[in-house]
Amino acid sequence: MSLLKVQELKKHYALKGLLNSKAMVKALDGVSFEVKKKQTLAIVGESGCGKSTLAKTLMGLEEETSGQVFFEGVDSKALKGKSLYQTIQMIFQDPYNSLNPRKTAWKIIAEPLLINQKVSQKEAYERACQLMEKVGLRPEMANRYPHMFSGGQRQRLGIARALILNPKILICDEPISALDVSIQAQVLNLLVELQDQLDLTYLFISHDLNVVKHIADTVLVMYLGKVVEYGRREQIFENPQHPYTRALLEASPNIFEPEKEHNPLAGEPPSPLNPPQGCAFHERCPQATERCKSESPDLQERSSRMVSCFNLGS
Amino acid sequence: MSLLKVRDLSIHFQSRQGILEAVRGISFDLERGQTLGVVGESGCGKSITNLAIMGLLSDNGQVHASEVTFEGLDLLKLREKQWQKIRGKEMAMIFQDPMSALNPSFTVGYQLEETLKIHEPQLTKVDREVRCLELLKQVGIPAPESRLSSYAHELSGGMSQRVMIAMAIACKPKLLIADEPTTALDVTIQDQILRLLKELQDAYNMAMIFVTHDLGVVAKVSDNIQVMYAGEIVESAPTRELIERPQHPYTRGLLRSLPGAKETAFRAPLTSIPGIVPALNARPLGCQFHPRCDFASEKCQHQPILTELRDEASTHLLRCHHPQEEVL
Repeated sequence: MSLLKVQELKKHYALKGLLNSKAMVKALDGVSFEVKKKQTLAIVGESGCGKSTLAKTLMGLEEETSGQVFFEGVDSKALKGKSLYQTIQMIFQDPYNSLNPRKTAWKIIAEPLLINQKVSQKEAYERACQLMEKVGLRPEMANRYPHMFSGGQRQRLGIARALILNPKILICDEPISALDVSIQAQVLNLLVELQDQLDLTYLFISHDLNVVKHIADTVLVMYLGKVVEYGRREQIFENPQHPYTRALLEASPNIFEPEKEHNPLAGEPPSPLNPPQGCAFHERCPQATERCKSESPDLQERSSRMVSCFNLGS
Repeated sequence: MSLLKVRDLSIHFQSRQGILEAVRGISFDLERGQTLGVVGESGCGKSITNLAIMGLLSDNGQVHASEVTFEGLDLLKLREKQWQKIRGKEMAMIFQDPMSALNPSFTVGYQLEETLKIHEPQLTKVDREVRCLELLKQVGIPAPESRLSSYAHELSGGMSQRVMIAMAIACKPKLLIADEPTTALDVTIQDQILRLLKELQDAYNMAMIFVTHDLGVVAKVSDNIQVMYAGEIVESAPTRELIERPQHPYTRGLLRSLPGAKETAFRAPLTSIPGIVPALNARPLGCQFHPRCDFASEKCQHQPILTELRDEASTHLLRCHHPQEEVL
């Protein structure tokens, strides 16, 4: 059984317009996937594709419009509040804005514990110190404020805070992209170590395909609220099928490989306020046909991964 | 003669903690039509250096240099009036956050025209409008006629950066400084912008200084790469040379820490550089990198000098007592 199963998850936001009050932004439009225990699923896509809405919906910060989320077979609706937070936690992109500047390090880390479980201050302090050691911070730093830590150390604080309730799933929303290059590797190594030690399952949101290739078991490529390709790491990186996945791979600079000859993808992602008819990608797609303009392709199994495109050949 | 020549450029800031040396002893040459990539972490002085070259440093920043010349013109002695003639005309700059670099209260067309009005007074209003339209077309903006009357908030990040580029190239500058121009953009848009910059550079034989922290991007666009650490150049070489045969432990550490190398196995620990960049008010003695360096020795208490490697056909400069020659 998968640890996390998401079925046809939709999140639509109603727009408060004067005239067209029925307009909807389909931030998530039927997203389905599964993640097994101790695995990492990477969620890849450009801004506005619904990555962060997905994270918020899974965390229970946004209510889904329709669809279901199961944690170990239990519907997330049955897991309210405390039990949800003990299952899934999140670390954020910006370690500068995601920590309360007026709280000391150990209080930041212990806060979820103090709120969700009956523990004494002393016990909470001790647990926080243990976790600080685990994420590579010296426990002597427990009484310092966030501004006294460097960016990498702050990200470690955020990780410790997310881990204090012993969650099974950790959503990492661009956890290293705000860090300096020489620090990124440290935090990435830490995440891998923690995953092995604590049997964690990661949902790793990132735009950096080199990072994704390094740590993800499965990859979910999103475009305008929909999944366009979903499969195992090797399949996606070595034999991408969807034209968008291919374009992403071509556009990602990798210093170790000579640049592939390619033409940059034309145009920009369409506005979710005004999505095109048919396949959301057809306006930018080099292979689009008449059919792509009117019909929207479904996710289908092809070459041992799921992909939604009409023009895959046979 | 080089287009831009910088010798021993240092930038100091007066602060409550005393004088902070943000940049120390930077020297380089930039030829016409060439791209210099500048790589380094936040606070390493890469943006400040460029602001100094553009004469845009704030008043509490003091620039010391033995020479900063642009086409033989001494930039150190320019007055503000003279700067205004050069900035935007001979040299231009684009920034990281295109959304906030445009003025929100004026239309794109107005802002574009403004540049032309100042630097090319011989043009009539009609000429300017035609030229604006051409510029927007040139930077690949769809429906340029209607975009002229758009405001910044109506544009996407990629479009705003294209408008910024159009403004920068309006007077066909000889030097374009691009400070993290694609960091705020999505991968496919970044790809488009990098391609556009390359095309414009070829068309105008424009020199570029391309500042970024993304080694993948810099490798794609630069002819030469300069690696900065704590306000100093630690290594500088032609792009492939630097990537294939880096000799400074910091450069090597950066390159090794990147995921995506063929040899790095799935989930294998990446080699990381221990520690963090020194604060400007607590600089170590001697080599700035030695507290984080695996090869540090007694010698490193003394500041190494940026020297040219002898047995190289190309110019490879290095500031290190213990160059590492073995291939990465």
